[in-house]
Amino acid sequence: MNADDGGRGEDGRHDLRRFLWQWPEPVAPPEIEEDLRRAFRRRRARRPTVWWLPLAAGLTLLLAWQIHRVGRPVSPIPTGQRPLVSATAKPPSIPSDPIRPGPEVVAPPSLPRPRVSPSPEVPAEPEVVVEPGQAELLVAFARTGPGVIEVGSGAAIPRAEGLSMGAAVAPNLAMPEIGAVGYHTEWRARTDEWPLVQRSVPYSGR
Amino acid sequence: MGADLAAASDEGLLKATLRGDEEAFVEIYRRHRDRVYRFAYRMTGSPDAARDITHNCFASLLETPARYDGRASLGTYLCAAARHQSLRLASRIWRERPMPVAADRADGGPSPLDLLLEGERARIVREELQALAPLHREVLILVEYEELDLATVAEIVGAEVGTVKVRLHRARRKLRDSLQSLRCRGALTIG
Repeated sequence: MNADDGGRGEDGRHDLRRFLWQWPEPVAPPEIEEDLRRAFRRRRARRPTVWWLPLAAGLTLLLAWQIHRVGRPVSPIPTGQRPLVSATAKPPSIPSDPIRPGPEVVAPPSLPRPRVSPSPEVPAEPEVVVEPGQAELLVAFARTGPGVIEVGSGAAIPRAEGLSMGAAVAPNLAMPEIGAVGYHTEWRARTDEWPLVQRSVPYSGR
Repeated sequence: MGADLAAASDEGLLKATLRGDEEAFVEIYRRHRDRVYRFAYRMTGSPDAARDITHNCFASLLETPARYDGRASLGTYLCAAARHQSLRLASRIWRERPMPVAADRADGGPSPLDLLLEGERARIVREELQALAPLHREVLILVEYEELDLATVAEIVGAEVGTVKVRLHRARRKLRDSLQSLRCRGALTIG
C-alpha cells in the first residue's frame, strides 16, 4: 500500500478511501425524531390562531368603518347637484392671533345644541353660464328698478324682470339699434329721490 | 397507511406534511436523516452540533416550506441546508483551531499501540478531516462518504462542477500529505 499515490491514481484514491472509512458511520440519535414530532405538534396547534388573527382584525376595521359612516350627519346639499352660487355666505375665516387667543365662547349647558336637519328638497335650477362682460351688465340691470333703461338718445332696452333661472330660454338682451323708436314711456330724472335715478313717467305725447 | 407513506414521493409527503400529517413528516425525516446527520457530524466533528443541525434542517422545512422550490430533489435541498449550517459552524471552529505543529505531533502524540485501537483511528481521521478547510472538507465528505456524483455535489454546494473538482483535488492532496506524515511517524497503518 503506497500512501504516496494517495489522491492521485486509483490505488492512491482507494488507499485514501480506506483511511477515511476508518471513521465509522455515525447514527442519528433517536431523540431528534421526538424533538421534531414535538415541533410539528406545536406548529400545528399554533396555525389556527395565526389564521384567525388577520380575519378578526379585518372584521373589526370593517365594523368601525360602518359605524363611522352611519353616524355622520347628512349633507343639506344633495350630492351630485352643484349650488347655483358657488360663493357661500360664510365669510372667509380670519386666522386668530396665535399669541393671544380671544375669549372662548362657551355655550350655556342648559341650551340644547341645535340639530342640523336636512333641508327640504329644492328642485335644481339650471346653471346660467354667461360671458365675463355680461355678468357685470346683468348685475347692473338688477340693481336698477323695474322699467326700461334708456340708452343713448331715446333708445331703450327692456329691463330683465329679475334673474329667473327657471326660464328655459335666456332673456333677450340684444341691444337695440341707435335711433330706434322707444316705447311709450319717458325717462326723466326724479329730483325728489336720492340717489338720482331715472324713472319712467307717463307718456306725454311729444 | 404505512405502506402508502413508504411508496409516496417526497413531494407528496411534503404536501401531506403541510396539510398537517405528522406521519408524513416523520417519513420524510426517516428517509433523509442519516445523510443529513452524517454530513453534519463529519463537517463539524461534534455529535451535539450534528444533532442540532439535523433538527434545524427538518424544522426549517416545517417553518418555511416555500424555500424548497422543487428544482432539486428534497434530499439535495436538505443536504444543502445542512451544509449551510455546518459551514457556518465549521468555519468558526476552523478559524479558531490551533495551528498543527509537526513537532508536537511527534512528541506529544499517542503511542503507536494506542493508535491501533479503532477509536483512535477514527479520532485521527476526524482530526485530519477537521484540519481541512471547510470548503474542501465538504466536497470530500460528499464524494467519499456519501458517494454523490460531482453534479449533485455542485448543486449542494452551489458551485460549478469544475470548482468542485478543484476543491476535491486539493482536499485529497492535503489529506495525502497528512497520511504520509503519519506513516513516517509509524502512527498509522491502513488496512
